[in-house]
Amino acid sequence: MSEFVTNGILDAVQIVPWPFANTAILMALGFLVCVLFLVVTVMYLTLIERRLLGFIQIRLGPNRVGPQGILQPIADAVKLLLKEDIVNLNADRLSFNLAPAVVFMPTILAFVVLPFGVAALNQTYSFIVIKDLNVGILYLMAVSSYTIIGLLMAGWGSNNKWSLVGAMRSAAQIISYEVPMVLAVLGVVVAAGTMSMVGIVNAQYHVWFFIPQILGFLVYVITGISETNRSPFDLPEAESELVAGFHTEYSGMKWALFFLAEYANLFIISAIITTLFLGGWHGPALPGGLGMNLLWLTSIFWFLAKTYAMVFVLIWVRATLPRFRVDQMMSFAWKFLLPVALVNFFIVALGVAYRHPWYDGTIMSRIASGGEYATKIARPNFWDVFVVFSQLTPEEKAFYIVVVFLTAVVLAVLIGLFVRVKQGIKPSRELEKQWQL
Amino acid sequence: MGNPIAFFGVLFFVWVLLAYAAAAYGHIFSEGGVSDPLVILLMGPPVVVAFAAGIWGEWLLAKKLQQYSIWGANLAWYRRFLYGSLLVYTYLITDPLANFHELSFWNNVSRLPFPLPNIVAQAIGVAAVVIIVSVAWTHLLRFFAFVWDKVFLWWDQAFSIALGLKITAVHLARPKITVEYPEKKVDVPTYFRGRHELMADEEGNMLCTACLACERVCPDRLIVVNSIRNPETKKLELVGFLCDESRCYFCGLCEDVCPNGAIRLTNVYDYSAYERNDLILDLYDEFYKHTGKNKPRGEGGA
Repeated sequence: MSEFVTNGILDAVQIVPWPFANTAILMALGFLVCVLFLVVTVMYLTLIERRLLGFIQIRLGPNRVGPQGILQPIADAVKLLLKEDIVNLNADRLSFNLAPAVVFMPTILAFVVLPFGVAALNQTYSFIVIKDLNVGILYLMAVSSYTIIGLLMAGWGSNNKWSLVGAMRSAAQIISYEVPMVLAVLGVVVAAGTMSMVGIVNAQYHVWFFIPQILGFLVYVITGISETNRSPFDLPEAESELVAGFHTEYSGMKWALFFLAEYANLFIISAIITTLFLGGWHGPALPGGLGMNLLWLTSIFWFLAKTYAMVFVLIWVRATLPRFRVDQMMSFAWKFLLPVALVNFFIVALGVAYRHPWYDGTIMSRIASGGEYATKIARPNFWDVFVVFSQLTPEEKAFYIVVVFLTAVVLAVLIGLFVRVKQGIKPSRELEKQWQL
Repeated sequence: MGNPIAFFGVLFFVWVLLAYAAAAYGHIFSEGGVSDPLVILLMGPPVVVAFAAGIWGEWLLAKKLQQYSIWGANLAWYRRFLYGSLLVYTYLITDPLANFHELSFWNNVSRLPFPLPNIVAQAIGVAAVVIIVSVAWTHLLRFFAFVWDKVFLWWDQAFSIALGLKITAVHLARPKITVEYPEKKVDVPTYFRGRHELMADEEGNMLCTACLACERVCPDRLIVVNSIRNPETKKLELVGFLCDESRCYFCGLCEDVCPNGAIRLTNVYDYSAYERNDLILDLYDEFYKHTGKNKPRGEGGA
């Protein structure tokens, strides 16, 4: 990605004359801003989720505190802060008290590499990210795995069989689902040619990765839901089997920290999906449409719009699907998601080998516009694909056509599914009639 | 060879092999690639035969799948598959984008992506495939049926999830059934039996004649009618009417038994109180407060 000027926002602010142009202070400030953003976002995600679930269940949800309930999170926070903090006598006090902090820590750390947008400063593009690590997505994978330690600490420290069973379940679940998740991410990394989050977003200049890697996208969304312990993968806190899973014994602010972490993970998973598959800050029309001076605003707008669309989808799925059984959950990960992720990775590898513009995110910068590319970062042009096509070798063209054909088949299946759903008839109904004869 | 599929399969493979050879090595015979007559001679017929054989094979497969597969029993799916294949074949034969040199399908086929190996080796390979297919036909069919069933199982599951998502999405936009109670109230039916009330006639006079019918009929003795006999007219006059709503189960007997229609169960249902005693209502007092008239015997009753 040498064509891109990959400054982090820290470097950008250093260019601008600013009295506090000091990296340590800036990092602390960025961290503070992120934590504030995180807390506010999470507080309101609880409200959004409760209201959306209410709407889907044909009720109104919390709407009594403030207009349309917008003060509800504050009321909840006050209530939880004032509640008694109970530690049961037999608890392992150290791990019990430490667990909520350990669960919450990775969600803050994940904010370090989330790329929120791009700004045009001093004739260069600066990316709005605390630090653009060159191992960004690997860092995210590593950091998000810490959650499980906190959950195990909570389950063990509570000295309660429900908590322990919930913690063991979550450990098994997260470890199992990391494998297909990493394989799905691997497809993106191979396509983008970089592990930097900013680089991955830049590689989606031509086409967002969820179109060629629809299988990887689906696998990542499913594993993402599983990693956040949300329905239909909410086995660790299954309230009909285990009382509340690993946070059975918690109350007050410690309990709230678990929920804060859960909703923060919801946001972060949506943000990662946006970054990896939905083109990050790239948007159809807005970026650049308001002028390069407002590029930061439009890019942040698209990033947040896509992220919240994903949040909506996850809440929608939660409202729709019932919980998995434990054995179903495990066999689904190992016998279905893993092969699908491998197939996806195989397709991506073929695509990169044949220099298909959909799969090789770097090919556009190499072929399409040359050095001009860096200046066109926020102006995707669909027709560039024909420029690329004319420069391919015959076998690459053949592969291109095969891919388009397969995509058409997938589209036909999806459209068929859509039509079936619109009809609302079970496809097996006619058959069941035949069997009864 | 008894198996027609295997027989035509061999014919088909040999023909296609020759056509590929012509396409790949055509430049040896003519300058600048395959000459048009050669292409028409070698590429045209096998293509047509291949498509015909493909459709016929699909039909045979569908008929066979009826025996082996639950899902194969539904020929409607075969029909859709056939229509789809016909569409694809039509596109490939007519090749409507052939004028755009880059987009022609056959243009790319004629230039093979790999060097053609020894033609004898390929023939042996094709023969091996044909023999395997002939011998293992039943098992292959079982395998196809397995895959067929799996595909439809997945289809069914995907359909279920999509249908569920559609249902929840539709519910998201539906008008909510919640009634925001203190601000809005449901309209109760006219026959609803709620709080008691003493009725007035057209001139606003009390209808109750203190006949004590309601007091006697009440199963729980919740009504107390106070009356005194007027020494002049020798008639009973009402001076108080108490009703204990806290224990009333609204059977409506008092309403039914009243000869004048003086007591009525209204539609009012929200009159909760913090203490039980607050629910022992003085309906007599309420009547005069409501109508604004003076009590006939003055404040304080008897």
